[in-house]
Amino acid sequence: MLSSYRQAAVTALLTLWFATMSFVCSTLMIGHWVQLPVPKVGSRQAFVSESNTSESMKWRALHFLSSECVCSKRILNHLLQRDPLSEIEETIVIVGETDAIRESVAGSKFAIEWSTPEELKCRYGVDAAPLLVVFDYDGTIRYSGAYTARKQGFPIQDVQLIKRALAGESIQPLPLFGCGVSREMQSLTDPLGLKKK
Amino acid sequence: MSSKLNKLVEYMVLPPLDTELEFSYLKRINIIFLLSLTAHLPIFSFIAWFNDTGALLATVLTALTLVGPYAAYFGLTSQRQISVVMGIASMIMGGILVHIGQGSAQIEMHFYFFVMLSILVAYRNPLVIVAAAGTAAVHHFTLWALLPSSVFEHEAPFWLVGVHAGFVVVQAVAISIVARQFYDSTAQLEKRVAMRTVEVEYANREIRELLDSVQQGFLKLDCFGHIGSKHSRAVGDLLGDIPASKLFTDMLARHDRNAAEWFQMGLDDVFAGIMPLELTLEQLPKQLKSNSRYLSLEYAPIFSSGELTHVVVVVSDITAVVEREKLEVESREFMAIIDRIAADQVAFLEFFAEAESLINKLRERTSGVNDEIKRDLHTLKGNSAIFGLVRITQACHVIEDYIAENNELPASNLWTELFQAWASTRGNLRRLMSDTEIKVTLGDDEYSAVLLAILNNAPKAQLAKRVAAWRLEPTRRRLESMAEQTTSLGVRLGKGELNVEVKDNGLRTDPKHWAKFWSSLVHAIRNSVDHGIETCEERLRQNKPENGTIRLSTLIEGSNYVVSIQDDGRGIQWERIQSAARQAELPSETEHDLKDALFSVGVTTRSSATEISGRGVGMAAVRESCRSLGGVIEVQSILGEGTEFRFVFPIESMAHEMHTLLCKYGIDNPNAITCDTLPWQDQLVRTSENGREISGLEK
Repeated sequence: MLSSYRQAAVTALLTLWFATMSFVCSTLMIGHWVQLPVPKVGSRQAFVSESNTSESMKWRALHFLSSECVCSKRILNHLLQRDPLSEIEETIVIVGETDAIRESVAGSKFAIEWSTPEELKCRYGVDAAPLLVVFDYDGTIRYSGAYTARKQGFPIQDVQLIKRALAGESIQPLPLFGCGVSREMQSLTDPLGLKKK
Repeated sequence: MSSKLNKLVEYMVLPPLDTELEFSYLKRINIIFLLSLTAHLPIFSFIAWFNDTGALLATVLTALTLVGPYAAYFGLTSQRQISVVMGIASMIMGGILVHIGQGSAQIEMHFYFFVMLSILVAYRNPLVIVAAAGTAAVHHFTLWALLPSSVFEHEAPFWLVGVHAGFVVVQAVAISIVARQFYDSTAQLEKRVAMRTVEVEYANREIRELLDSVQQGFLKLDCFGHIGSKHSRAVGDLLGDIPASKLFTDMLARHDRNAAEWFQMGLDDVFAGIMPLELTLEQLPKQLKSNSRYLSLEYAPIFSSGELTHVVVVVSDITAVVEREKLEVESREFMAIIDRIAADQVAFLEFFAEAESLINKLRERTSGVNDEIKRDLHTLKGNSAIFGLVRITQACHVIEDYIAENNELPASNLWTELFQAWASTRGNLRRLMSDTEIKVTLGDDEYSAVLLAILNNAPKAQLAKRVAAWRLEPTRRRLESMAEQTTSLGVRLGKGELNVEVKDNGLRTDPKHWAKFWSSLVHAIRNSVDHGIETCEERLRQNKPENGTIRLSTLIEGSNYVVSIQDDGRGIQWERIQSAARQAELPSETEHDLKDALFSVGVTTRSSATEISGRGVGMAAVRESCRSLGGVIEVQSILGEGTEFRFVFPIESMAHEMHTLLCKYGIDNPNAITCDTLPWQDQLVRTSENGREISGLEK
């Protein structure tokens, strides 16, 4: 009798365990599998043309990264290993200011902007990272997408993508798999909040 | 359709677990999987730390995943159910790995699933594969439910998702088939093994029953003497439990230390292969005494590829056989006693009285070895042999052997053998007659003669001498007894039929005082036969008569009484006596020295002792008894012609007490009572032809 109770209890525990772990694993995977939204190529962002002056009529490349996103950290580390390109104005926009990141970007020649998820969404229309967006003189988006052809795999193609955009090529945007930055996107990609660091 | 489905289910679901072998196999695999999955915990934590994907999260998630396998292992009784949980858990582990391994190698991390699915074949259970693959499917369905675009990423069409899933399905189906075939083949193999095991167990049981039912102990030894695992139950009954060392010598040593040492040395020889196997096996101990039981040991070699690998020992309880043989020996002895008593009651009783005295002396022995003990033992042995008391002879011989080898008295068990043999002999004698009284038996002639002498008023002196002579023993009786022993000894020693001549000259001696001398004299006779007389072949080569001659005589020479033993043998080889004397550290320069050495303890020309002679004790006993009667020994020996031992005594010693008694009553002339040529010799009553008795006095 006791044995059958025990058997039933173990079976119930295993069922609960299986369901829980399946769900947890699935939620973990969503962030890796879901293709995140990016600003559309060809759309125009006013903040670029507004900031341009007659002395500095350069294209701009914005690297949107998140301090809570592992994928963003890998891109940041990659960017910090080179200098900004001379033919374009490159800025790294980081959501979530932390001491560690502040220290890591301290000696960089890149222009650094600190932002919040809300500001990012409001000002740039961006709610996912890591994202590369290339603007022309008047703020038209010439490239908007991920850095790598496969999910976060090598190679990181930032330089090639920027140069192709500068050359006037029409580039098929690489799909973005990464982290949601806005609350809305975070609740979609990390419903259990397990990825927050 | 349903029958196909049934077949599929039948194929996927294994028959009930029906062999102990499979159960233990599954249990072992489950333990291996449980440990392997547990090992994921530190590995995953490290990967997450290294990859900066959250070591704590990885640790927590991996630990949560391990809850399933541990709960199953300790909570479920079915090994197959546990194995299904292991399969599921391995897939969940894969999910965690893909997450913590995100980055450049995230896609490669998916290989984990394919590897684990393959490893799960070890369970030989398609259901485990299906459960694992199903877990992956559930994962994807959950993903799809949560976020459809995650499954159909890149806006992938159904067929692309189908290809993705197809690879997993194909692998799962393939390895399910492999697992099932693996199960079928191993299950059949296990059944065959189980069947063979049953057959072997049955055969073993039959052998066991056989070994347990036989009364003999069977055991197998390797070259080191280790006892094999299989042996008959009787081994324990006969020799006790198998020792921890497994050595047969240790087992023997419990009962007989000497036999154990002897066995170990012998076994080394058996396996050394230097001497013939039959010879070395023959040299191993054959008999053993264990408490009150007698055990026989037999040996049989076992060969493998022509090489000796083991020896089988057969131990049998032969107590009944030995006891029967003892009874037979006792019976023979009893018959010998009867014969001896019938032939010469007085002589036998004298022997018996002397033997009793020697036994009592040996009972009071001290711990040290001395010449007296050796002499007493040797005399007891020699006289017992003459009177056919085999057990006493053998018991004495064993003790003598022990003393010779160890120069110390043996333990009480050997003495007990001797004393028991004596007690048995004594008991037998008492069944026949009293061993303490010597009765005087008169023949009709003597009775009539004495009666007539009284009736005719014969002189007191004559009558007294005649009656006194009744207690004196004719030396002829002794000489004839020794002659008989000499003859049988010659046959035993392969010296042919000896011619033994007896010449007593009608002499008589006091039996009480002379018994010891007559008993010890047998040593001299045995030496003459054993050392003096050559073999028939040797005598023929030397142009001597084929059979040797020994003359035994008693005579009066002047005022001396002489007992002589003369042989026509090879004579004494004095150089050998000299060598033996030197070895015994005795003087050996003069003729007197050598003759003295001849009768000294420990001087022998033999390299080994036999039951007949060779210990250098017998002749010393002769000299001792001779000296106790005031006599001296003369030796005359001519090489190649023969030897004469002359024992010379004062004539008074022949019947000293009787002579003193008669003298006390004014009757002298001792010769008259020690010789049969007495004055009344002519007065013997003779029976006339018509039967009327007449006396010499009447003539």
